Amino acid sequence: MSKEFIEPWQKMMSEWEKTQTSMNKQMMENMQQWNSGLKKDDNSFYSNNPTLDIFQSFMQKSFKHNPQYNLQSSENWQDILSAFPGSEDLMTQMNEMIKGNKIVFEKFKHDMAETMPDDATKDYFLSTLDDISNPYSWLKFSNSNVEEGLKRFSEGPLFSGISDLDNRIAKAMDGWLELGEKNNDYYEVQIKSWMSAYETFIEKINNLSDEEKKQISPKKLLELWSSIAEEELMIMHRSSDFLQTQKALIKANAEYRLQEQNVAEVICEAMHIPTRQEVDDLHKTVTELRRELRSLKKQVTKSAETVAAKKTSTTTKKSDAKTPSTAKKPATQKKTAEKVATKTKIV
Amino acid sequence: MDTLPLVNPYSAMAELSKLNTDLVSGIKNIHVTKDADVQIGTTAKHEVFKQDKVSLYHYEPLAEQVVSTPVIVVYGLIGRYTMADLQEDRSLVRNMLNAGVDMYVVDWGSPTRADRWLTLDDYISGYLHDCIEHIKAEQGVDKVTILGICEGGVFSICYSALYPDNVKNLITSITPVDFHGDQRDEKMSHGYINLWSRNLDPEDIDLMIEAYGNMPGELMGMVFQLITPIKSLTKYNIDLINIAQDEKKLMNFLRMEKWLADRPDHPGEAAKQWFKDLYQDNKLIKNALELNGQIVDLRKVNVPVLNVFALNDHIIPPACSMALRNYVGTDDYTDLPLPGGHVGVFVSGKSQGILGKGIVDWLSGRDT
Repeated sequence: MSKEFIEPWQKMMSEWEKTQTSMNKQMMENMQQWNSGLKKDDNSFYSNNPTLDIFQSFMQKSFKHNPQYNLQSSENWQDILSAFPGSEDLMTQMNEMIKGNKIVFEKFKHDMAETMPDDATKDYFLSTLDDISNPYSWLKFSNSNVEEGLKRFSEGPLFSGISDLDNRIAKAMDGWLELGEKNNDYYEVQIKSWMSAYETFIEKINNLSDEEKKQISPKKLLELWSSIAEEELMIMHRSSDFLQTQKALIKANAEYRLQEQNVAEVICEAMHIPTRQEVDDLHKTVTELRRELRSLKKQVTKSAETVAAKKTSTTTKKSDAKTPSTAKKPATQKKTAEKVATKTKIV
Repeated sequence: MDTLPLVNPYSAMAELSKLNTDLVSGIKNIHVTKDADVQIGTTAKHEVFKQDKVSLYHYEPLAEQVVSTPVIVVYGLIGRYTMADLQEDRSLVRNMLNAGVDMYVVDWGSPTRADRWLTLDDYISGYLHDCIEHIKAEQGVDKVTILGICEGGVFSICYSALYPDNVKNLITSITPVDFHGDQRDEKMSHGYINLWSRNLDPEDIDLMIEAYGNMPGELMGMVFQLITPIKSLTKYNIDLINIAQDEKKLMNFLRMEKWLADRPDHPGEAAKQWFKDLYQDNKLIKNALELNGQIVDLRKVNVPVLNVFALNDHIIPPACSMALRNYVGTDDYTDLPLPGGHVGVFVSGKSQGILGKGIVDWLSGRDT
């Protein structure tokens, strides 16, 4: 490999290593600073349980060093993080590292572009590198470019030269991407609701009176959070946004499953295994036959009961004509009919 | 500026210590408990009839029979009949047996994809009808009392309308009748299943059944969890920790978990009717539901009716159940509203004395 190609990489790696070392050093210092705080300021707090001691020290330190710490609902994670001692340096280090990496990357891009044979190749090379270095474009690429390519293939006209299995696989891939997209939409609605619950929670605790703040325990705090989140999520689950995205997700899931089944059918046929469709058809036939059988059984039972009733009626009439006192009671007639019916029951 | 109201460190430590203690004893209890120790539906019974996957069980008597008409318990296809017999001291079945009622129960079994094509017609005019005919022949009676639970209540209402000659009394419990009744219920936690079902397009339901064969029990379980999301999320990491150190409470919790985990798939074609004809089109109260070529006309329900519903039922809102009064043809109609939720009616300690006694008292007056 040429020297022109390797050198920029070497430079970039060297810069990166420097910033990593610096960051690690800063983190170690921060850890040591925290560790030094774990000393017994108040003996009444301490037990023989080391876990409890650490927790107690942490709590003490939080109160002692951060009286100014006040979360506002509008604050973001950077603001929250910046309230912790040492975090400012850490953030500076991180920014420096990002900046340093960017400078090295830009230099690398420039050096490499200079080696390209013509302007067209150079432009193509630079735009490709931009895509690679930009996380947003990764998302765009996975959700749009690939999907578009597959759609062109799966929704396009059928070509006899392309195997049926390939077409089915393409459709299944299409379905998979659709499912991923609907899944993202579904979680996006949920995340918004979780964030809203978080903001309400912060607002609530900031509005607590001093007396309430003194009284609050982890359990009460958890109960407060649970009730706020429960209400927020319940509202969200009943919102049109959620119901529509969930419906779309359920639909995409079912469609993908059918596309997957389509692929499996080809494989099953090739391997002499009954397909899902064939088994479903078979079950349908069995269910219909059972219905017919049940209906016939009922008809046979009914006919047998009618015959038995007629027979008993004829016998009774004959008996009545001879000896009226020996006529059978209606209850016995019913039992005889049932007996005949049971005998003729199809098992 | 206000300081961050983290937590009072003293109460935090006290709670943390308690949590540690609870965790240790709770884990110990869970560790020694085996699945076989958690038994539900244990009241003695024997199978008297079987057809395909459906079984009819007859319970062993626990007292001298004082109600002459046998009672058949009909649960739905979502969940399992064992809810009516969860444990010895929380069992509607046992309470009724102790009061001298002769009891049967239908178990629909565990439908698989092979049962995809079964319809509500098959379950009501087929299996249920055959079970009732069997009881009639076995007991030498002309009629039985039907006790329908949830979806099983709908089966029982339909059966009573289609085969009135076979029914002595009808008891429905936590049963949806007006499937759009949730719109009259203002409680936010009530009626999510109604809303969820109406939101789906009829074609989506067909598509789901085409893809899965049946309505997966797991999917229904997920929808139930959405009703009270945080309660569902904190069930194991908070609720279980809070009760696990108490052996009795832990066993109650695990029995309920066992019942919840046993969620069979709902046969596909029957699910289409359940969601499209009933939840979406509300055909039952319109007298427009067709089973086996016959219209289910609620005005033909002329037997005495006892309607049990839960006042805080978030799965079947009370308004959905109470509507039955307005549509049945009988003049002998009684409501039995109970405190608690959908499952609580059957399993809570409070309802044990009320539900069984309420039903038996009502039956005793209608046993002639």
